[in-house]
Amino acid sequence: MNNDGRTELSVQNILTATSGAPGTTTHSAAVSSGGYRFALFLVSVDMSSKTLEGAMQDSADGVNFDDIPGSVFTAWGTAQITAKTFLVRFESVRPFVRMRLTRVTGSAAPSVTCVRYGEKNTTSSDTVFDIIDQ
Amino acid sequence: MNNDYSTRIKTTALRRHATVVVGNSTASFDAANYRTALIVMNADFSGGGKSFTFSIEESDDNSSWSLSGLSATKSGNDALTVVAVLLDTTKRKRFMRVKMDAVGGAPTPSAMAVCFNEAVTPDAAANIDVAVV
Repeated sequence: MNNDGRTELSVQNILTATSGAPGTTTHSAAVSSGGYRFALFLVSVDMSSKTLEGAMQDSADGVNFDDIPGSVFTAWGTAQITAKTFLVRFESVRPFVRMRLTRVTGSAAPSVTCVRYGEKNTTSSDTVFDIIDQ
Repeated sequence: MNNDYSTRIKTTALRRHATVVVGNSTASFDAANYRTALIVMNADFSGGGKSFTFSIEESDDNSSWSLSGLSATKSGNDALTVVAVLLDTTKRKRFMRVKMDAVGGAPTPSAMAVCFNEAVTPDAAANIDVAVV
């Protein structure tokens, strides 16, 4: 991490809100480190009258993905405005990471935004911000 | 920011995916003790003609709100659209939220806030001259 009191970050939409029948699974797009140390996977979903299972998945080749042990998540609650955060340290997983979201009951329509942050070896930004107040 | 090579974070849900209603505001978040706040709005703009204009509102008490002067319009046709707002919390009031000012084409953005980095301000009562931690 740079010792300048700043943390670079990058923001990507990797899954737009997608509905589906109970039992169906949706995967986000995959991300790789790009020089960042951490990634936050921010899931936004209306959980009223629905249940959902989710997990982080990693892959060595960007094609064949497996659930990351310990990352399976079922406690989504019932709030209309539900946000859940999954945190990954890239050095602890294989190079490609994505989210798996499986609808158990109801037709949940989750979206996923990925925020990568931490040390980055270039000074360029991958993100065009709409507002920067700094 | 702590100089311990750690970055603290806090996430808050502000809005579910739903059609924008002009004049409505999202839920708020509390940025106390954090240095930077990132607001992300995830939306599907495919189909063309979708846009929304928004403003950042701020408050000292999470009750009386004023416009911060920060506003922007997002438009385009990308299914994977994200709006990212990066805020310096030292310039803002403690609580913040997003107000929708205009909309085109009925997009349905969600919104979340991520606060980064605990702000370290010495307590006057601590009487610290030098700290090596």
